[in-house]
Formats: sequence, C-alpha cells, structure tokens
Amino acid sequence: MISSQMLKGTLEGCVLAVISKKATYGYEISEQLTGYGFGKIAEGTIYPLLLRLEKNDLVRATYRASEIGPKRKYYELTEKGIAALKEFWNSYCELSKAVNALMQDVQGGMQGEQANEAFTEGE
Amino acid sequence: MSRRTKLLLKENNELEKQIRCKENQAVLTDITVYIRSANINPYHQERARRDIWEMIAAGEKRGETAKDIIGEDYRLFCDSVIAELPHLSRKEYALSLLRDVLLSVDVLLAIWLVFRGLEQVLQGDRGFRFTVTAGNIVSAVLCIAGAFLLFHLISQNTFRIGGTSEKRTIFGLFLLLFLLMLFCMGANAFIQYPLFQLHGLVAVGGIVVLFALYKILDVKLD
Repeated sequence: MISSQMLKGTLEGCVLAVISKKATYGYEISEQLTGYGFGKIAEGTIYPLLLRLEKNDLVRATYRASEIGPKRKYYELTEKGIAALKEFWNSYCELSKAVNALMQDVQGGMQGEQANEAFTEGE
Repeated sequence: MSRRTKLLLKENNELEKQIRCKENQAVLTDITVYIRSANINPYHQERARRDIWEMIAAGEKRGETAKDIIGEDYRLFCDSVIAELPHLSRKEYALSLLRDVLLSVDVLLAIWLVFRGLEQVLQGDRGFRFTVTAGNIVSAVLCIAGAFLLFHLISQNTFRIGGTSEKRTIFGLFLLLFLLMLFCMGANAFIQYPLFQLHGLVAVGGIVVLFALYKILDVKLD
C-alpha cells in the first residue's frame, strides 16, 4: 500500500492525468486510481483536490445528466491544466530516475555484500 | 443574500430531503452546519453543499454510506474543502459581521417594542413613550454576543454532538445557554437605571431602517 504522505505530492498530478484521458467525475477518478493500484482513495479525498484544481484554473467543471441519479459534475483539463500535467510528468520522471538510480546503487551494493558473505561462508 | 444564492439554498434544502438513509442525512446536516461557520461567502458554501449532496446521493444509489464516500474523518474533509474555497477579505468579514449584528439588533428591538407596547396598553397608557434602561442595553449585548458564541460552539462541535459519547459537550452547551438566559433576564430585571426615552414611532422607524441596512448589506455581500 502506498503511504498517504507519499501520495500527497503526486495525487494532484495523477488526477490531472486521469482527467486528461476524457472528461470525468469524482467517483470515476477515485475508481480509476484504485484500478491503477493506488489503493482505495475515497471520493472525499479527491473532492478538495478537484476544488483546488478548479480554483487554479487547471480544470473546468460542467454539470451533466447521469443515468443513476443526480446530475454529475464533470471535470476536463484547461490549457493551463495541460501545461501543468506536462510539468508534472517532467518532474516525476526526474524524481523517478533519481530514486531508481539510488535504489539500484543501494540494492546493487547490498547484493554484492550478500554475495561476498555467501562466498566467505562457502569457503 | 443574492437571488442566485437564495435559489441555490432553496434547491439544496429540497435536494437534502431526497437522501433516504438517516445516517447520511445526519452527516450532510453536520457538514452543512460546519461549513456555514467558515469564513466563506454563502454562495460558495451552497455550491460546496450541492457538490457534497451529489456525492452522497450518488453513493447512496450504489449502496455506500457517507463514511465510504467521504472517509472516516468528516471534520478533516470539511477543513480541506474550506481551505480550497475563496475566503472573505477582512472588509467583507467585518461587513458580514455587521450585517448579522444589524439583524439581531432589529429582531431584539422588535421584540422589546412589542412587549413594552403590550405592557403600556394593559396599563391603559396611550403615550407610547418607552424608557430604555441600562439593563435593556446590557441584556441586548449579552443576548447577541451569546447567540454568536453559541452558534460558533455548535458549528465547531457539530461532529462531536452527533456522536453518542459526547454527552458532556451537549451538557456544556445547554449550561451555557441557561446561564446566558439567566444573565440576560437578570440584567433586564435588576439594572433599571434609565438612559433615555424613545417614542414608539421612532422605535418602529429604527426597526425599518435597521432592516433596510441589513438588506442592503446582505445583497451587497454576495
């Protein structure tokens, strides 16, 4: 399970990414994130985030009829939102590269130590 | 309150009745009360209320409870929502406070006038000149300050009051209400120092002017 602290910094970008596929609503965003392996994220976590994105003009909201009940608030990216998503991808790729490099180095070192230990025990 | 806010408020009140589950209804009421106490203009409060109603209503159709939809901590959810809504500036906040005080003074003045008028009619006095005592003023100030304090305490504790284990909070609020009423009545009855005299017609004029000022501020602030 991904810790909430770790999610905090990336959730906004991930929500933008989900919305970039097609105009969508809060519950569907939370379901899609669960599908991608983010774990169960309540709609109540997504809603304030959507409000922030709307406030910062990264998404625009429109009300559309729904088959199962009340009118739904659909969100779609604005020009500013598309630019913010690109920026998020770039930052995330940089971060991911750095973390991967660090992990490989640390794990490589650990594997080397383990191999040395096994060799010494074998002798 | 502007026409758009009034319309939204009316719609939201109607929509709230469509929530079937009592527990979900209670949660929505608590959230509404909590958001009302925030430093946000009424239109944005009602818009957030509509969004949250939609979330709960759609969730109910899927067989989910408010807890499944919103999460365990309703207060945290409300605080995150409030943080994202546009806040009132200092000037707007001061004017909205003044608006609420104007309405409170207006209501108190009307009640005072009706009771004093009846008192004079029963005594056969047709002068319609009323003496305003220091007790009247102290009582009015206590009454208005108490009402604001109670509203603030109730809205800040709304999620605790809803819980079954919070009898102490409810007891504390009732005790505060009782003490406030006691002090208000005490000030009215025992502080009889006369301040000035007021004719009934002047008082009626005052009520009309205060209400007009309240209305102007109310429309302007949204």
